[in-house]
Amino acid sequence: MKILIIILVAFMGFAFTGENLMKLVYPSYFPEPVYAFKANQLTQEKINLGRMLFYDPILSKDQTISCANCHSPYNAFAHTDHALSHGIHDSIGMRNAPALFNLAWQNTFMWDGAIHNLDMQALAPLNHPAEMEEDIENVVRKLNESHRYKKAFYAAWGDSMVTGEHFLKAISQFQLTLVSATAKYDAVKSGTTSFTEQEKAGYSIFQKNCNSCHREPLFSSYGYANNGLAMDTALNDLGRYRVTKKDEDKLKFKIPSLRNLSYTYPYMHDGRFDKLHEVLNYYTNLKPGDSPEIALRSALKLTSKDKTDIIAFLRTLDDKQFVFDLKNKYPKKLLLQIKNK
Amino acid sequence: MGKNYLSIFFSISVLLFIHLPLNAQKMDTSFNSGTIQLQIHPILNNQQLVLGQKVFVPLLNDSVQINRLRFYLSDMSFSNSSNNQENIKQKFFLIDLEDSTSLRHQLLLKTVSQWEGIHFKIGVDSAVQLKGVQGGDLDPMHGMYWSWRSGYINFKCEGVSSICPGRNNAFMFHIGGFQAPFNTIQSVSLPVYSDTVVIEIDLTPLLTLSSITQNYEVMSPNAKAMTFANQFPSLFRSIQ
Repeated sequence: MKILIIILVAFMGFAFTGENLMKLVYPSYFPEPVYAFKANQLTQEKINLGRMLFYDPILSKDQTISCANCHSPYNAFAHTDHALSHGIHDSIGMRNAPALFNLAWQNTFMWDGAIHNLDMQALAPLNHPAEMEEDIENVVRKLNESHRYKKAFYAAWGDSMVTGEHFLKAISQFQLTLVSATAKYDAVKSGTTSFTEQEKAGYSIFQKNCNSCHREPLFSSYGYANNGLAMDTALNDLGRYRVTKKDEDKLKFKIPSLRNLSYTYPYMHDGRFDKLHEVLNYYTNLKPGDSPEIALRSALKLTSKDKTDIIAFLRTLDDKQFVFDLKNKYPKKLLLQIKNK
Repeated sequence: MGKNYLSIFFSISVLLFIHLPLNAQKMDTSFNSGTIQLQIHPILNNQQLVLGQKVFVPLLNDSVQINRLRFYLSDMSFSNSSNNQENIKQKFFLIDLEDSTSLRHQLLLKTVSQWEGIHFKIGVDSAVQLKGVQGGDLDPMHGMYWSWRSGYINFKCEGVSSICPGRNNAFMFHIGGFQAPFNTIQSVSLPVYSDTVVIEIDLTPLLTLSSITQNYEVMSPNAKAMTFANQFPSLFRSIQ
């Protein structure tokens, strides 16, 4: 079991800079990550810096909102109970804050895929008037005025001068380490435990009905789909069309992973469903033509027992160890030191 | 005493020795050169463009004040009559009218030649756009990276004109986009007349009635942005 636990292992030896290079470790049944680690090699100092920044409201205009406000570690880095994101001055955004994990396996980000590199993602909430309402020039200035941050940047990059590049790369580093691969499903995959009869039944129904979009082992293909949800006319959100301006992308949203569902309700891009039962009922009540996706041309045919079995299986994707991992939570030591100086 | 004389003599001869080849190189022709001084001169209505200063534009029958002008020049190269081309080592130049040092660059070429043409792109190519965050002139902290979606702003021009219906009469042309059909990167080739290359960029053709009164806010890769981008090459000329 120990061997399979996903941890960051220090790379052998030291690079010429004296940096302690780290390697992202993940299960053998995971695909290769798509993030270009070569251009941003993990080190403990850079991960620490990214973690400080992730939890520090200094990133927002009035110093009230940190990344963790909408991406809490205890919610698998989503925002439980909030259908739409909740930002500066109690502003309500347009979409449900997504859970953050297994980001190294994703090429595009946001519900509409507007961002195509993890490094650039932080700019979006930073700048959004209903999230942090700040701009990166000002964040760089604020960090350059902080003695502690200058020290942390020096420790991470060998240069105390804060730049946008180093700031964004550090935030990427912390987020890249958020690997969720220690759920019961993973233990079954690696042969250290087995499913109950009910979970087994749910798994097989899942594989027949859901796996084409919510593909194992990440439980998403990370593609885009229009699952037929009627547009909320208060939001008028056309999804991926906003980015590509292609008609066929209207109402398409990024397919979310099904890992950690118990921690990340409500569901869908606008948080319209609170319970997994509601989600399954939605798919069994689909009418032909609601969704253009092949897998959803007609309603899923599931009995109520099937639904209960699927939900039992989905619970095996809850990764408690990830959610309560001490290395991911608020870095009291690192941040409180800063506040005191 | 004698030792001092010797060392002075030695220093002078070293100085002469260093100096001679430099002089020899300069004497070849007036601009057979491996060093080019590049200067960027933004102009508006035949006058040097000064940020924050009103300039009367006859076509608009209104005065216009430009408050920001930033753009990327990239993949710069020089060519000579024998069709040899040499690329400049620095791949990206952020030209920012607020930063006078960005308007003058000394470019070092490996080959000493009578350069006849300068070639460059306006904007950032897709290969770089798809990479992770970059530093230097490409650092997103320079205000040339969109936040709501990925991509560099290739060309940014902001100002005010009383006939512009935008908030506070402000117009903002943030021209970017690197994916078809809205790939806004443009190529420019201009003649080179001496080892000081002065490139004028004339904003006047961008400030038309339709751009100031209708398309005064362009902030996405779209058809409007393409219309602007297609005009860019014609704004540049090198002057003798």
